[in-house]
Amino acid sequence: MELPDNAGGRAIGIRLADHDETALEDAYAAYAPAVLAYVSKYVGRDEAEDVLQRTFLDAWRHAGRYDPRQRFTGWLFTIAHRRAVDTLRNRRTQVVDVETIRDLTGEDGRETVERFADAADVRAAVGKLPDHERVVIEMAYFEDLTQQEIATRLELPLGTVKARASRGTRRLATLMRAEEGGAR
Amino acid sequence: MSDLTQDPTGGADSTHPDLVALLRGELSNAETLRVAEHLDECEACRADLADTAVGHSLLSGAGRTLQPPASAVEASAEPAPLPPAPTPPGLLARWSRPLALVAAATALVVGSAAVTGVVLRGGDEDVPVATPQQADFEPVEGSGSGRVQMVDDDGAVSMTIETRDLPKAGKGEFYQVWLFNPETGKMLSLGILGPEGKGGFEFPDTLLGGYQVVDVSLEKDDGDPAHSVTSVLRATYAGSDGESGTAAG
Ligand SMILES: [Zn+2]
Repeated sequence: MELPDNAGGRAIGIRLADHDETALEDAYAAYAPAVLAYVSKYVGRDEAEDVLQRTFLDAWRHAGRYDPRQRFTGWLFTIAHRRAVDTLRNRRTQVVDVETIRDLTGEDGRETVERFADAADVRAAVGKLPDHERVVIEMAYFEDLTQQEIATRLELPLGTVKARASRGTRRLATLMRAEEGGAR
Repeated sequence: MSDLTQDPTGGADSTHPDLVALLRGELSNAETLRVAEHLDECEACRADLADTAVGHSLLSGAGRTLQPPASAVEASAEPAPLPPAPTPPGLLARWSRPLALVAAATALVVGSAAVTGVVLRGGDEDVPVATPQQADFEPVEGSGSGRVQMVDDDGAVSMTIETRDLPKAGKGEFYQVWLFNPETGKMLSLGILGPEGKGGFEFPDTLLGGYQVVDVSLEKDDGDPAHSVTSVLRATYAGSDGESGTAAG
């Protein structure tokens, strides 16, 4: 049975497992910023970019192990988690602070993976909004600007920004609910 | 100017315009209380508010999670990775292309900032950046050979790899391309060489850092992402000629 388009990440995972070459590009476009944000919590910026690359290469190489009953972002961030752990372990000569280790491993680590997977799902859904709405939503929620500030930056009337933010916010809710529904 | 973008969800724009601002705490106390009064009497806006609250909750949670840590913001002298709208986030635009090429199972290759500076500009500001630069692969094991070529085009580096006389990879084996820093032993896993032993890759030069050598290794699909012991080819860029020392410094 084919999953509906709105199954989002799962559909990407299934395409990856099927060696669909465009799936990796789609996965990267949808999830790379969230994966980068996640690994940047633990490793330095240069290393984070390496870990990011490794994570997606692993996802491509081992996509056959992706179980579509699992949400794709959960699987992807589990890989990112492993690669981040590897990177810290390989730092034989450098001290890694206790807080970082505690946050990365054990209960906290699992919780963080789930939280970033959640955020990545939302971030990917934002990417599906019509451009006008997406831009306003990104500025409001990922750059932390007020609607007034957005109106100034975009040189748009405040009413237009409010209308786009309102439609985008509700559409985002609809997309996420559809995705959840399609997954069942 | 009003925004007449059609709304396929059928959302009514006639409802109160400040529901998002209400949830985000962008209203004055007086405005907030006026919206509250309106909600008391307006069924349509209450329904709207419920949908808006669900979207707002998802978004604010994601925004909080994905926010770069304050320490990173302070430590970084660079501007925020995502430039202001209306252009799409730079991160996506810059990063999505290289992986398209990985996905195409072509080889992908990365150089270092120093390498780019050296190889592409040769320390001479007047050299056109589009001039391709190249280095030859030397066999580490076996008798393969080949060539790596790089072109810098406005911050995006294109690399192409052509190899010759590599033994055909066995079942479950493949040739993988890496970046390698011989001094530190640091390796960056890059991608898989195509069946013809060729590949190409584009990447932003911000990705570059600390590598001097392109390495091709024979790998097994055994789930171990680490570099195998079997390097077959290497090409050295940085430090390979007289220009390197000056430009790398
Ligand atoms: Zn109303």
